[in-house]
Amino acid sequence: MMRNTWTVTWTMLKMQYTSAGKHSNAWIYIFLAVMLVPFFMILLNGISSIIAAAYHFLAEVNQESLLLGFVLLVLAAVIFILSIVMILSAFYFSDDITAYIPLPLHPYQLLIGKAANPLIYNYLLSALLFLPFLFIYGSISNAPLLFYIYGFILFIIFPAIPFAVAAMILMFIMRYVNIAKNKDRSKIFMGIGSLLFIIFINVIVRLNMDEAALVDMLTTYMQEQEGLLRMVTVIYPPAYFGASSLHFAGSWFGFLFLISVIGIFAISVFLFVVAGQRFYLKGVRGMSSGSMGTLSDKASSKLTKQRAIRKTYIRKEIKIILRTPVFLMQCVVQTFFFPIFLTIILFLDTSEGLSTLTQTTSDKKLLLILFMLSIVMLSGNVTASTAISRDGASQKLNLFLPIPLKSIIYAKLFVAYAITIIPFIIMVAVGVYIHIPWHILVSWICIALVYNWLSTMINFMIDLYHPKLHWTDEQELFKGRYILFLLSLAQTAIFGILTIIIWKANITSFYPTVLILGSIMLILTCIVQGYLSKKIKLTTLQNIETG
Amino acid sequence: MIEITHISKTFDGNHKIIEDLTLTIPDGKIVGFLGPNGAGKSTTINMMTGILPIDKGTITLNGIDIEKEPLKAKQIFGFVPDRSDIFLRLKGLEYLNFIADIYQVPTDIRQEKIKYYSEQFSIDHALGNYIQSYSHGMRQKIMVTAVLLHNPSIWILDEPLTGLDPKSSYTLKQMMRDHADQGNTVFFSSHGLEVVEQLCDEVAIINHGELLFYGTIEQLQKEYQTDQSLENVFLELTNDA
Repeated sequence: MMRNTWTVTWTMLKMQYTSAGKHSNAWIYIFLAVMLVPFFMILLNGISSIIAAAYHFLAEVNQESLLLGFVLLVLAAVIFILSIVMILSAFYFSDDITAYIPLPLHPYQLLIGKAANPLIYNYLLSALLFLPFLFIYGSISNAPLLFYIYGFILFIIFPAIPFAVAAMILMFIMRYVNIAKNKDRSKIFMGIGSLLFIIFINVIVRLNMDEAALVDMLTTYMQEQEGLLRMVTVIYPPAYFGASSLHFAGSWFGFLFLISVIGIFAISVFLFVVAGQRFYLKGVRGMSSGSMGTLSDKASSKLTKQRAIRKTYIRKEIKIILRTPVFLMQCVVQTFFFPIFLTIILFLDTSEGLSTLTQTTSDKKLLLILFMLSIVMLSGNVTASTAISRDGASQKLNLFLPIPLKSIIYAKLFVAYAITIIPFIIMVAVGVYIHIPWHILVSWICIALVYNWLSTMINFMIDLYHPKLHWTDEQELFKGRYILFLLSLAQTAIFGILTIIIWKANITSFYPTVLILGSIMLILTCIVQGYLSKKIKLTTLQNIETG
Repeated sequence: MIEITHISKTFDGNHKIIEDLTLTIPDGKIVGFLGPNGAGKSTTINMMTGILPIDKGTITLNGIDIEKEPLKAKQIFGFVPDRSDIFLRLKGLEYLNFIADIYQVPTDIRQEKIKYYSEQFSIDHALGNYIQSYSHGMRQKIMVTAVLLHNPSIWILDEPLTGLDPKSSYTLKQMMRDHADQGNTVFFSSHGLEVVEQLCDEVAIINHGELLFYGTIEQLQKEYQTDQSLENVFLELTNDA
């Protein structure tokens, strides 16, 4: 029985992470990782000093365990929210499950296999959020060896608890509510719904931020031992038990608290398996791909009008992105996340921090801040970095149909460019709202538009040289493709360094800054554009097929 | 006419797939392309259609070199690939219109042809549906219909009859015959030896990237001094018996 579970899990993971017949892209990851090392060192250093300051401040009032509870609570919340999206796409929306249903396997075995990939993501996230904190806190508090052992055990068991809770809730909903009969529409609905949910939580938190009441409450809880920890973790007891096990690692109390977490973990896993056995397949089999009706003569003749090759190719690209839930979520909806979030912060900001920023900051610095904001937003152009990979099996058509290479390339670049422009317009609208002076606004827009083209080309070329065409389910295209994230991070790091240099340089006036930034962007764009025009040939596309 | 002259193809530097293959497919004939799995059929077809670059040798279609003038060469053939799971998120009609746009087929002609062929293949009722919802046979039909829209003189078909129902299979075979009889070229790969025997004027048999035989079925039987079926000769020739 266990062997079957393991085989299914292994096969499902292999399907997600193996790119059949492709060369290894390891060197890109190594290169990007090396480039990001200094960036992470600076970040880690900053976090370390923040934790140290918070620890010493709280230790004076005997409330340092608050930090442990807070981190575990944040970790649980982040995992819970992300798990909702991951569980829906992995458990219900990925088409490969239909291949496993006819096999003589228990629903819980399929469920465990399906859970493996989201869990890997959760552990990666925990490794990033929790492990550095554990070591920093341990060294500041001169923690005993048991602290680290308990910490490691928590690292192993803790992320599984919120994941199991999220999975059980969703399995129950999908079994009985049957959200929608059309699979594609429900995918889009759930995707946008989860985004709105995150924004809604943010709004609620901000609206309930009554500073005076908060101070009163804090004062009360600070009177008692571990009071703040209890206050923070009251909504999620495993965080309290986990934090207490670490805080009392030197005594028997710590051990007892750890046993409590292990107990909760065991119950969660047991319930997860039982719920999976009862509900999972019933929910999966309730869904169908759906189908549209037949076309009227009028609609038919409207759809069959002749268009220019490039125009028809652009329409095809846009239609496929908008109609494929995974592409729509990854390429379009997620790009809106950052500007919408920024807009909400702005409108709920009672301290008027952002609006006063325009008056208190120098023109040069304001431009640099805006420039970095646009880099963060535009560098992760997923539409460009999956332009070739999205074609999957259809990539062959680019080769045997008489479409000029330039038409294919520029149609794909145009679509990727245009999709990132829409959320950028929201950012510009925010800029106008907070009264950014016109000369700064215009300069920023010009530089950002040039950068967007540069970033679109870079992302496109990376995908052209290292595409992932052999996917059977669109989700596979994004799973395990950390290059998309690293590409964005590398651009942010490089232009971040450039921004820091200009920020610290002895240039005080605005226009020389515009000139420097604009020139650098134009030069880089010309170089990349030149490379794209000269080096990308039909054989580049043909060699993708060769693998 | 398709002229394949001394072509070779190697994958991963040393794995030879096609070795010095020369083959001329004349006008006015249906030529079947046979070979066991992994013999090099798809690689040859992929080179003929510009999907793969040619390492050595040349391929011309009606005298136009696919490597030197790819766009011009691609205008004169229609190709049905072995995989029909493409553009699944487009509706059948949208896919046909996309292909018609690429070949710049005028609106009135495309409308007329879409109507005619979709009725012939009984897919007219499903053109408003997403290709994703089609069965394998329906997907194959939409691919074949798309190829016929721009009236190419050369048809290159990779396993075109797989998944088709008897009526559509008969219709397509009839169309292939008519097309060849009008002096055009029809080249198709197949594993269905009975179909090849019944439909083709000539056959090309390939194994391990080398051409083993090219000619009529009568010539094949004569060469191997047998009156056995194509299946038996094929198995003997490719050492799969």
